[in-house]
Amino acid sequence: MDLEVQGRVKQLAEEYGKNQLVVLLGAPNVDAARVQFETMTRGDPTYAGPLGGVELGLAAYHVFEPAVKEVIDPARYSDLIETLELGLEADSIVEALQQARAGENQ
Amino acid sequence: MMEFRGKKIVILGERDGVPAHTIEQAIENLGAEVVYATTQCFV
Amino acid sequence: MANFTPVVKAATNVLIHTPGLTRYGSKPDREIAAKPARLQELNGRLRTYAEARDYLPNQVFVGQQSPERLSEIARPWFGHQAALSEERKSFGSVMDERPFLALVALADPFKHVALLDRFWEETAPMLQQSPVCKPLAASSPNIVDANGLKAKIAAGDGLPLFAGVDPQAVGWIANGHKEDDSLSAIVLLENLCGKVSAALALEELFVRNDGLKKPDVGLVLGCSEEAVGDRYQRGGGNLAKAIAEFSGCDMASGFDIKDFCAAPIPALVTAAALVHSGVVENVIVAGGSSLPKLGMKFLYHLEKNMPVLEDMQAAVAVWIGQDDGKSPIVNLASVGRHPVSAGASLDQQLKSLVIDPLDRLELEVPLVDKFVTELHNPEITLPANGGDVAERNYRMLAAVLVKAGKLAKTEIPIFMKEQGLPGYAPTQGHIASALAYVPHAYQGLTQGRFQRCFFFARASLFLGQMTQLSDGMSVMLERHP
Repeated sequence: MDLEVQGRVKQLAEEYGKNQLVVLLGAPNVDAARVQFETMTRGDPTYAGPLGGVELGLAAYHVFEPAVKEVIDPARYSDLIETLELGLEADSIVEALQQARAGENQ
Repeated sequence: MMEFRGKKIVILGERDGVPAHTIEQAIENLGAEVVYATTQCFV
Repeated sequence: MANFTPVVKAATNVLIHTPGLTRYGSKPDREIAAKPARLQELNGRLRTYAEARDYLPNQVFVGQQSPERLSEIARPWFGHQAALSEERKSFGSVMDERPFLALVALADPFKHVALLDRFWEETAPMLQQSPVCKPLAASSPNIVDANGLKAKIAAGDGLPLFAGVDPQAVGWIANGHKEDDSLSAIVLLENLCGKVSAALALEELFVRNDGLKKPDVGLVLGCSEEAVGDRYQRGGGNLAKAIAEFSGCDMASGFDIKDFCAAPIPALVTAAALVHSGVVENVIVAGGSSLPKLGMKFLYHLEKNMPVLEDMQAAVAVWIGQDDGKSPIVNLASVGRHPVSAGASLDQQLKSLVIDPLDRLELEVPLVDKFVTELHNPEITLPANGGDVAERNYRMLAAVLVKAGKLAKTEIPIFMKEQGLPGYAPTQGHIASALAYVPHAYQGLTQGRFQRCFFFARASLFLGQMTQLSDGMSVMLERHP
């Protein structure tokens, strides 16, 4: 994840606190989604950026995940996101993040 | 059920995934405030 | 009101192998500044000219091999000489760094560039012996001797120019102005690389096409990524005119089209519209190289024990003229635009750029031989977690076509294989973004069996942080009836 972006999120987490902040991810594949999820929760796994070793513990979701999908207006979701799901590996992304989240809660 | 109302949203979009603009449009009427939105492009 | 059908009369390209300049790519430059040891690591993985020339994707780029070969030969492609399977007439060449650097000095009218005396002695004959370089080599560069170069490097008000796999300093480029970042050495070098590479692509046009004469060119349209300017006007532009002058197209004027990586498509459309309306008879669209994009993914390549593959600068030139009874037509009725209301995501873009034009033309999907989009070499992007860009685009295009009822879900694999293309272009932004394939399309639409090639390119406008939107444009090239 871009170092500038990491820095910005760190700043916002300090400003608003982890209970108020929600991170929404739009990554196109499993690897990118996983790395971003890790960085938002346990810290940058590559230790390249400001969030290396920093556990923000933020609530982070990919927009394909059911928790987000069910809150979005169905017509909007169908217009804006459904075709993207078809063209990308949506199921794999959702599964990977559910596993990552479960791992985090242990 | 996730609650967006009153939350501060950070959007990490991606050009070849779901861009920030699209995510913003999707959650427009949910009562949350987008505090940061960015789209990454790797080529 | 004039009404000329615009056609693509010729298309050529050029690859320049610049291992010595790779350190000045944006990512390498920043990484080396942060961690000087990176320079040695980078230099340890540079390819020789022969390796770069014989690299299959580079062979495909200049037309020495067909794109189909990329599906026939398994990766890794690096470290292997591409065995030529058939005698093909290429439409471009792979150039060595040394004559290129000499040309950079000759292309510099303000003499910020100086060449080491013995380097100029070595390269001047190379320029005269090359039909593509000779027309650009009528002048002489600033010269500096070994001590002079040492002194410049010590004083530090500029950048040394390096050549070769074991890079040696062969010249110098000075900062252009003490108080103007737009004229810093790195910016001047970037702009000169774009100028020279585009001029070389133009020379390829004239060398390979007897019927095309320099005095006939009325306009050069630039579509590259640099920003030529000064502190008052950072993006003043019109590198195109500098390219026209350097190439000896004395009857041409110029201007640049800016649209991030998509720029070549609006440039082709604009060129075609100017020819169609009779404003200009012959336009050359010139896409020059991007120095900042060299070595973009080099850290990933080092990590994976690969050579630094982003050591190639690339340029493309396309000649658009009036209907000559045989050349492929630029179908201006096919142009797809990407309005603000269309949104930013790829599927929305594809609806505007592909579905809407197909509907407007009442054209069935099977009648398009090739959909041409971002053709970045996957061997470069996959190790960097960037995926296979071409494949990703075609997969989304297939999904969009299925959703629009124009393709059955079961037809997706065949669609992607038969009507899509494998990626092969260096990650030179706008060059990879469909423009690279124009010379191949020209061949297919004339000597080959193609009837239609549909080009679409995308622009990440959000990178400039003036909007969250993206942009794109599309246009169809068709066989002359």
